[in-house]
Amino acid sequence: MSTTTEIEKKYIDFYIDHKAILDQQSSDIVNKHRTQAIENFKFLGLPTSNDERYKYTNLSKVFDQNFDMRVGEQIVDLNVESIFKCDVIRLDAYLALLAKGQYVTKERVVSHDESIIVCSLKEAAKKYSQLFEKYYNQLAPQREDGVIELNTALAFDGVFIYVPKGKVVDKPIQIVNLQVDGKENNAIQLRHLIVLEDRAEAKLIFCDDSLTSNEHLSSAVAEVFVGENAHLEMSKMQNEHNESRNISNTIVRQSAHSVVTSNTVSLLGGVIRNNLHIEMDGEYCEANAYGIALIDKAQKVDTFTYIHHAHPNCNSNQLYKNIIDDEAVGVFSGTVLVDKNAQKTNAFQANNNIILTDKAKMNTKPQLVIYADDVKCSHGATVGQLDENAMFYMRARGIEEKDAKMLLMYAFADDVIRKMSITSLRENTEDLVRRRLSGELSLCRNCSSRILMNSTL
Amino acid sequence: MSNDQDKILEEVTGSDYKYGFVTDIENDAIAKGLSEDTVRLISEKKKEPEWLLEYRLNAYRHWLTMEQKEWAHLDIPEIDFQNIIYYSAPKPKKELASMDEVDPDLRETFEKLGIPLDEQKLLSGVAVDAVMDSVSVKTTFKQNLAELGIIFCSFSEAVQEYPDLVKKYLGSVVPSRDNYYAALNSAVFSDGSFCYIPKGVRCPMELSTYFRINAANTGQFERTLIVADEGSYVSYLEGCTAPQRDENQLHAAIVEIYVHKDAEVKYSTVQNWYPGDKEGKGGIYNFVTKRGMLHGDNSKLSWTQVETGSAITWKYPSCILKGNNSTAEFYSVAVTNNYQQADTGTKMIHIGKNTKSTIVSKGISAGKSNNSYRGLVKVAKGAENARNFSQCDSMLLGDKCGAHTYPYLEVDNPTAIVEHEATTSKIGEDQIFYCNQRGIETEDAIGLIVNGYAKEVLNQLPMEFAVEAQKLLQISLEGSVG
Repeated sequence: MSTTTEIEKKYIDFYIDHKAILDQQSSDIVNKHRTQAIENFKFLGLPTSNDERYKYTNLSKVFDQNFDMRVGEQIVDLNVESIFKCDVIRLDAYLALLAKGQYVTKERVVSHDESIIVCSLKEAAKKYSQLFEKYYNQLAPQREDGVIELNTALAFDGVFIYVPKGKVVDKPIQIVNLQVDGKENNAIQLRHLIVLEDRAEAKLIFCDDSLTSNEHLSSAVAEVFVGENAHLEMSKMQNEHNESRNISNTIVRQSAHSVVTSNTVSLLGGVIRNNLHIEMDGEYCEANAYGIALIDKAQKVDTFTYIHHAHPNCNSNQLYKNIIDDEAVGVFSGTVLVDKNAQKTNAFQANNNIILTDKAKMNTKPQLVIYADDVKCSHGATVGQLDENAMFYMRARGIEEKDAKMLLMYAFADDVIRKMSITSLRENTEDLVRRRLSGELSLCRNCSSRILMNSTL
Repeated sequence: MSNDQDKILEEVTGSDYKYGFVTDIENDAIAKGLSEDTVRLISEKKKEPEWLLEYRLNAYRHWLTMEQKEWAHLDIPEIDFQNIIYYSAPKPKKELASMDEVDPDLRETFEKLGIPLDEQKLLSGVAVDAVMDSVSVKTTFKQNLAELGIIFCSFSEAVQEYPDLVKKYLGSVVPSRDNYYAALNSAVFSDGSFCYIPKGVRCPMELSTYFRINAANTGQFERTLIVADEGSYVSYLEGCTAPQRDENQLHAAIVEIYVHKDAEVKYSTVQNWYPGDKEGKGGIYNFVTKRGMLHGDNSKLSWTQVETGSAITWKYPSCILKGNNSTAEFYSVAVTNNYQQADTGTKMIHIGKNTKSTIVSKGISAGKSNNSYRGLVKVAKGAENARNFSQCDSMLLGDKCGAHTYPYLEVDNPTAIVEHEATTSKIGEDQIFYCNQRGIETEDAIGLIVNGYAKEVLNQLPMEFAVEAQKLLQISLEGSVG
């Protein structure tokens, strides 16, 4: 497309230098996609703000740090498994841990049913090669987005989840991606593959946490296949620190009658870019996408959603809220595309934002692209402040300004948090948000204590 | 009510494009093609001063370095800029002393269009500056307006007679390098209208210009400049119809409005250029840059547009709210049918304090057309207490058309309140049922509902335009409902 920039060249060179290692340590199924992907990356480059989809976040800048890139097998010197204990009270979940871009959990994750697979991507490619090949890199858009192409070219590990026909995972599966490297600034690529067959049900919790305070970049691509009548809930908890760069691409394909819900909670993180792409590949699909971001200082959260109604009688719901403080910048760009034959579509998209200071900034771009005539589609976006009348009401009743403000913001955020179905996670999120709003650093307690522990190690 | 509806429907079913005719007037046209020489030739033909030639040349040189952007939801066939005649003026046969001396063919054209270019216009209260192709042929009511100090004349006349005013304001709102088509216009604009309302004057009549694209193969590059000085008021109408034509014609106009302190400008457009036939052949490309600068405090600008014509419309009448307490409004109805494409909307740029803007946009798509709303609301850092409300509704008639909404909200100030809402719907079965049940036939009911849907915008139009616009909506939607 354009000439290759210095930064892009750095990544291409890195690929050339490490291809042998990657190929050696990965399965052929993963390897065979690399060459095409790097060619595509050379063609596309990293998105700049000239790219309409990345208008408000120049990703070239995000990638332009002296990151120490890591691919292939790394030595994880900490016994992460033994020290990690999520402190979400009463959260009864299966745990899968990722550290340094690798899947580190050694035991079986889901114990109640042997046919449900939760393992490392690397292992799955070898052990379940037939199944894996059927799905791997089938959903990620080809020749569209340089970030995804780079991920495919450098893909090494991540989590693989497979729920066969009619199986219901009895507890949520928590996938924790920990940044543990205490020494250098690193960049990792994660690749997830999630397959729910017909009538399967699962709830997933993706946590991004950090045990270090170093600058790092993680770029994750998740391909999610949801079979007929299947139910999937994905919650994403982004709670690293303000030197982190977190880019995630989640691509979902839904079959008929399936329900997909995505919750995103973005609290800490320097630059967060979340792409959510949902393809409705059958009638009577339902997709719900909710997100809340509480950002301050120089944080930036860019949410990008794309919901494609390709078949009739599908519903989609989007509600994204941002509270922006200090010099933070929030971005929302959402698109609902309704094809010609997707009659009786109901699509709703809302983006509400509160900006608290002069320097905070919000850019929002909710879009509807509609080719069918018998549809109900609407979107709304607001940018504003706290309701003065509500403030006055509370002040008149003796509630301090600070408290009143917090109550209002909390209520604003709670519209989104309330959508989470896992009670303990919801309660924890409410707690995190409450602490964050009252000015406390809202790291999960154990994770934050881990930082201290790690620094003493 | 039902009589009116019947009449409208009759017109609807009978008409193809009723304004499709070509007037045979000798044209003083220059050869096809665009080069620096073309620019110099246009400037020379119009006996322009040196600074204006420089302005044109600068724009042209910059245009050469620019590229056509592809962000719009439009499928624009490649335009051969060398295959366009950039200047064509009806040959002046002789000096005209009275109306009788106006070319009879030309007068006939105006009569077919229903433009009152005779004394009756006094009764209708509209001063008409009829632009036939590129040069103003006749300017009326000048005397009446001159008494108030209002300048309303053709652009070339203004260049000769009020060079200081033109020099001061030309390009002050739309710089010559603004965008691809604006740069092109700045280089080769042929003529247009100029309007200046002096301090404290309230213009007593609606000012109106009828644009026509007439000679085959002539790109029309209009330039309109309206300046409202302190405390003045003007309501400006622009209406368009065009002869039926097979070749695509390019229209890249610029409208600049400069509003001083306490002044108010109301700008209304009804645009009904040839949209192409039912197979999407022909039609006009309408790539227009319209922008208003609300420079002074308490200034006010209101855009109202009814867009039914053109094969491709690319148009974003915008407002820069620079003055404190300035108010901007944008009301739009855009109808697309058959193979028409429209990407239209507005930009509201809030810079001053306590600025307010309202956007009401109604899109109606039928046939195989695509209709997009694209709008930007930007609140700059210093724009305390900025307020915006946007409502963008789309209506789909038929299952082969598309309706799209692309709002951009960029907010940089915590005291701003910006709201955007949009809906997409079709005419509800329950609404039709309600009408049917009361003896209103489906076709009538649809006419009724569409007009009701667009009422909010049509109400903003001056009376005589509102009637015309209502009919236009019906004609444009002909054959689209079944």
